[in-house]
Amino acid sequence: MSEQTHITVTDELLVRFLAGEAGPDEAMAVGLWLETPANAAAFEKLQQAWDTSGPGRPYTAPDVPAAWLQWRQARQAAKVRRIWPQWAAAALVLLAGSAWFLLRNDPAEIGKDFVVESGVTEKRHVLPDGSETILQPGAKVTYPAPEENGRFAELTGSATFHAKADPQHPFTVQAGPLTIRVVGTTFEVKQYTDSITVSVRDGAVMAIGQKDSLLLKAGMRTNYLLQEARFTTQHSLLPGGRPSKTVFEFNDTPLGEAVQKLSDAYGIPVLLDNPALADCRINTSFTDKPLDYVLTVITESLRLEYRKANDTVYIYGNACE
Amino acid sequence: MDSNGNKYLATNFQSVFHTWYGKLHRYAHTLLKDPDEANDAVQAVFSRLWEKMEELKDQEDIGPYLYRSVHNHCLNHIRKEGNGKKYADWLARHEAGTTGDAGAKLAVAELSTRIGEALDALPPQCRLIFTLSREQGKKYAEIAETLSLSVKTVETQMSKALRILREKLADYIALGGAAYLYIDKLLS
Repeated sequence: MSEQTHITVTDELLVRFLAGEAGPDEAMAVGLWLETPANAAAFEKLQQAWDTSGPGRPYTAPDVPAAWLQWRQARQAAKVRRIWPQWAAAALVLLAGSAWFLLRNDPAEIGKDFVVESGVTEKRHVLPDGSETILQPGAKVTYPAPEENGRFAELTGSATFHAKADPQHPFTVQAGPLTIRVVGTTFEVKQYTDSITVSVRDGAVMAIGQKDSLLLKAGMRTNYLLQEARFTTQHSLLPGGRPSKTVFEFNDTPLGEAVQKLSDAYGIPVLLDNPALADCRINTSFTDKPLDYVLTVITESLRLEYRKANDTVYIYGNACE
Repeated sequence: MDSNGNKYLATNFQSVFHTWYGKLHRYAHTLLKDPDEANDAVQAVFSRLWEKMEELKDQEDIGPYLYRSVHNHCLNHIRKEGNGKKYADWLARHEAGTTGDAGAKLAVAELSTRIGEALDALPPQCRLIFTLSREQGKKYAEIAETLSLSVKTVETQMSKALRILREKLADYIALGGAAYLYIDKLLS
């Protein structure tokens, strides 16, 4: 940070600011001072007195997310005119799979941001920097062309991200008004009509709302209320990380039903490799046990095995007699 | 900011936008006296930042750079377009009061009366300085020169004027800037 001369915010400075007489340094000092809610409340009265007493249209706070969309649209319109040939080659090298397919299919997309949609089933997609995303049905991810050197994606709907570690260049996901900044981690974003939940499997993310922000570590989950533009005060732990209170009572329960309960409770899909396994019966109970413990007990009692791959648990073995 | 200022910016552009947009807009509003024009100004500043990112020095702090850009952009805008129309409109509104429906006329009349009363409560010199700045858009330096005062005195008097106005207009303001916005809408 540069050594800025310290500017004291006085009444005189505030009035000079309102009168349009403040220089950039002074304006910045006022901006900083206004971050304190008590200061902002006092200033508002002054501003209203000022606005009421003379020409001009009174101050209204801008809608920043709308301003961002406006800015992006203007930039995209400008960019389409600018690029294409020189980076088609770069795109070829950097992009794999569906993005390349998309590029080939629709040359009009070139120069614009990339859009990947999941359709009716979930879809896995590799972003230009190597980060992976699994889009839930009906989700959409938009990210800039790789030449822009950006590690950010805009999300509509819900998805899980596995961000490639790169502490120097945090990966950023924009979900509605919420900004989620990541340093190599796996996390999940679910967007509802009234709220957005962010669940972190490993690593840590910074969730930035319109008014405040929150550091979430592995095993934590938060809920962001859209209407009130704030995080709920409770930041629950993910059942998968450290279950707070997870109780299972299985009495002659079909395995198919049991794995469904485990999936829901731990937030990780537990699948049966062989559909016939669904009819196996289990009798046991668990209280606050890690998923691995539960899986071990179940599979060993039924002489089955399990393995984990890509955040999914597969149970396999022969059908029960 | 890390040593790769430009890379940092490219990666975090959206976050930088969200962090600074509101603050810069507030500053632009004090210069342009219009929220929409202020929006246009800040949008233009961010577009320029995006294009000129490589020219930024690695160690340069983004905040002061953005504030300087807004300042320059707005002053250029005023030089080209002029702020005169806003001041002329204001005077016309307060003198004519012949357009608009009866409700609007009444509201304008009411507001004019209230502001008139509040201004009358100011000491003469204080009032003169305030009207030169607020109603005619004169700069502090111009006012100081016209009245053979120091800029410091102008500053002190302006602050005093606004403090008194805030008190005199308190109940009117408490009704809500909404009432004022309503009038503004009727007349635009």
